[in-house]
Amino acid sequence: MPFPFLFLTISLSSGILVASQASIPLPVLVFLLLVSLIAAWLGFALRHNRLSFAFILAAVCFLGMTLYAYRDHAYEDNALRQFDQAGYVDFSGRLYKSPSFGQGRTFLHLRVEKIHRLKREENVGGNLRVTVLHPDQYPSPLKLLTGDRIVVSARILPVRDFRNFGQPRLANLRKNQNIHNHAISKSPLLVEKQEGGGRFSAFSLISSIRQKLQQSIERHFSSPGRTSLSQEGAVLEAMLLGERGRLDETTTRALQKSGLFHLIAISGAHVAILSALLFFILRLIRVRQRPAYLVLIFILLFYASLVEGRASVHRAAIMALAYLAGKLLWKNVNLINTVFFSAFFLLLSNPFFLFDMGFELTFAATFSIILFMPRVLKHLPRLPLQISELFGLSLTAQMGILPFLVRSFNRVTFSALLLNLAAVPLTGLIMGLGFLFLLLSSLSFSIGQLLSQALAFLIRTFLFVSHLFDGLPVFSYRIPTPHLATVIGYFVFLFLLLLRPKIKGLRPAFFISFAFCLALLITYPFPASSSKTLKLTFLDVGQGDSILVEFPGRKKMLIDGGGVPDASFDIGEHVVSPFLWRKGIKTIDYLVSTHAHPDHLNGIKTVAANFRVINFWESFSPPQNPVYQDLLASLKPSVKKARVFRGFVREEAGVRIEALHPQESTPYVRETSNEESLVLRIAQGELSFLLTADVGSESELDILRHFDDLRVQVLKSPHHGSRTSSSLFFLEKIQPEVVVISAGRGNVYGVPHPDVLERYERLGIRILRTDSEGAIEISADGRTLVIRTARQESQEASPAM
Amino acid sequence: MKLISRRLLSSWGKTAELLFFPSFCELCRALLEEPGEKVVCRRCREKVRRLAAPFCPCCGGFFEVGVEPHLCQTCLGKEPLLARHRSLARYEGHVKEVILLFKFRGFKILGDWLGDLLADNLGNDDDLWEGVEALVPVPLHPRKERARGFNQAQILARRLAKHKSLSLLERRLIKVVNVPAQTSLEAEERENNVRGAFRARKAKDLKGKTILLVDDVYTTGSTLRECSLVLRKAGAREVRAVTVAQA
Repeated sequence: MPFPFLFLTISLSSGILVASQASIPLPVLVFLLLVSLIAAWLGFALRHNRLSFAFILAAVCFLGMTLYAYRDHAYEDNALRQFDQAGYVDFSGRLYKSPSFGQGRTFLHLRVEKIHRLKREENVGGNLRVTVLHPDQYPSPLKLLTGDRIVVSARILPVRDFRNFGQPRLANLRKNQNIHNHAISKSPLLVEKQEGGGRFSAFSLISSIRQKLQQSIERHFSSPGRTSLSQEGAVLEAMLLGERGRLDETTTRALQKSGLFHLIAISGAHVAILSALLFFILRLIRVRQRPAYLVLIFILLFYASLVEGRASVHRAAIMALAYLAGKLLWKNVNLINTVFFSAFFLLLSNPFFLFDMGFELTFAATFSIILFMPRVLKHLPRLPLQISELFGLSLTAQMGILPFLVRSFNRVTFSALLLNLAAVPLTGLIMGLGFLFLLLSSLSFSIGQLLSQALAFLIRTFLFVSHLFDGLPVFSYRIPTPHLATVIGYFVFLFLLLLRPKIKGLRPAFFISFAFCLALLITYPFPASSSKTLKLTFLDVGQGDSILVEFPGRKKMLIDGGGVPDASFDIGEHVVSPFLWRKGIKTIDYLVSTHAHPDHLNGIKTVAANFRVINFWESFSPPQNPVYQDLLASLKPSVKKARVFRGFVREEAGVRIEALHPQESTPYVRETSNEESLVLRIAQGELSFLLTADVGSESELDILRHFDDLRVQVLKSPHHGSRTSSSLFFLEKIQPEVVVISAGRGNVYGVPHPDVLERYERLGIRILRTDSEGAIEISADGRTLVIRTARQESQEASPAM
Repeated sequence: MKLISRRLLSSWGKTAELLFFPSFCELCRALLEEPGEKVVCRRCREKVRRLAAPFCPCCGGFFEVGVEPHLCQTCLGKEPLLARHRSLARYEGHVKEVILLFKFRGFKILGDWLGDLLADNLGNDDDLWEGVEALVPVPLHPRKERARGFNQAQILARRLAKHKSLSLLERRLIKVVNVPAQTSLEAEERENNVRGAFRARKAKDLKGKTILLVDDVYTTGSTLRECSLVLRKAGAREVRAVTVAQA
């Protein structure tokens, strides 16, 4: 059996998978594990090798279940995870990683030992990520190393979690990285290093080397005003040291779009390039083969700990080490076995990796390369300079990860297939020269300066390459989430293609089926879900508004897109777009912006870029708002733009859309105000919704003045349930049965206001809140409302939770 | 107790080897199950052994038929350049396969094993070893050695020197012309091909000594004879040779 770890890893993963779905008590699992181990040992003693191996597989499966159950339990019950006191408290502990940097912020990874509050000390263990803000300060004022003992005063951040019908919960990201909680601290002055705590260890040594290297990059690659790291420097830092935090949004987007992002995230390609470079140098200075292998092992170990990487680095390093160790021991090295045993050990160290995107991608790509590379290479023409090999590598890697990319990121990218041909050799050059730069710049500033010029040029070329196909959307586009059956079909037929079937004609059949699945995967030829009745979904976008209106038939309208005020998180990309994609939506017939405040507008920008928009409606536009400018830029010229004011009426599939506010007046471009946000009434027969955006009581009165007989069934609470809206008079007049409040969990504005809630309750209005219910879907069956919430759904899905 | 723990350890080691690097014999593709088995399985290794045929006590050439040991026709005819030569076996079957794996697939570890095999089987042949003072490996041209990563004769010689506690004279005999491989030539061309390809260095180490040349394969003997000539010119008293196989 050339690859025993294939079976062991599959068995371990299925154990983890089962345990993540069903909760089985830990003692039962341990018992089963022991029983199967004993059975395996008996089988071995009685020389029933097959039986013994079957029991070993069972034991490994139970091991996976036990591990998951144990780690899940330990994680969920962790005191730090459950710690949710608002306001600043002091956390003390040791850093278990080097600080990592963002723009204007530094991230500390703290192994918490104690929490101090009001002279009380609690022993609490757990991993905390602290974001320390230092606006306008570059480089980071925090000079800390792994192993340093610190006290930091910080505030626990509420879990950023959006519940929108089956959306994978973002909270799992923390779990995969074994971080129990996130906290934020507003100043570096709140971080205090404790003396005598910083034990000297291998980790602190590596951490200080890392810091030195980062400083030499910072010295040579600052932006002109020395206010930030230049993008060339940020790319270099990402490629050499795995620090991606200082890349800006534009660069990241361009690399994601062109499919070259993998070259920025240290992974197999980098380890391979580094090994090849080192091996070449060692051979050049006449080091014999076997000593060279040994040296390589140590350098790779050092490098893997230097970049403090994610699953992909560990995978690549383990594989490389296994390969070299096998060579040193005169053993055959079976690549499939190596891939699976690196997966096995990563999963043993952290069973949550199984659900980590990076882990899945790196293994899918590697496995696919190993399986398909030889066959693909046979069919490629022989080209000089190893172009065929390079193309074969990117093609086979792409074959493995395509379904993952489409399902998780809703992106289809072909440009990387061609761009890799230029970008991978460039990356090799940049890495080679980059390491030389890191070595020499600490010795001589002028040599460093010289090399940094050359590097900056190479990196600019690299970034230029990533933009080559920008004008050609066929090479990279967004697409709705494919059905699971498509993905399964894709993989099944891909693997069947590997077999040599006995029946003739089966192979072409497999090929056609595979091509069919591939076509479904990359085109999504299905129409958007059709709705029988009018259906509104109030999305959970945290603090903000976003409402999807589904008309009878297939037409869709999106009103606002949520958003956070700073650029730290893109609600449009990570929350609203995925929700629409899961519904199979490619086209938004009406995109509506009620007013240009961040919590309504910021998310729309990305939505407009990700979907085909037919109509764009707004009332007043804001002057010189950069987000709004971006939004206009991402709307294609074919989009019909319209200004919508009081008196505007549109019929769509028997649904009447009517604008109630604001009053039209010049100029059209003016400062954004809540009182001038667009209020819509959407009605089908007896059923009507009033969507009031952020208007206050003054506008409420104004609306009533113009529309006296305004009775609706569902009211979207004006201004997230703020005290200055929802006046009693207004509520009494419109008499809603249901009010939907769209507000963020634990928001700092304190909405919805208790007075307003009390007012709703007094009037007997049923209250639905996105902060407690998640997304809320309201449709009508004749005169009765049908209400579905994300919370209900998740409870039905897992009754054990 | 110690024995049990060692056995337990070795069985664990074996399991780990089987799990991490399941390896197969390069010759028969059988799974290498036993601890310490490397590259070639035990059963194939056992087939590499000393040929039990009579041979010429001078040039070491094996005779086809079972006869009493006697000098062969060639050695009777003229005084040989090589005083004595011994081989382990004929260059065929498993011996040939193993030598090919060793030389051309880079399995250096097989060289150590072949060296041990030579010492075990020919180490007691007093005719060969009596009076030998130093071992000299047949050199490769430096360029070729770099390409292959090692000199097969040197590996054999090192192992032999260790077993017999003799001194190994490295870099005294060097190859200065990178001539085409002997294997690529016909028998009659070989003599000319290697002429002048070798040179002796630091001749004082060689002066008056009885030297044993070590190489992997003896075909026509051209290479060994040329080396012998060079060494004798440099002052060696007598030159003998040992090889793994003869064609």
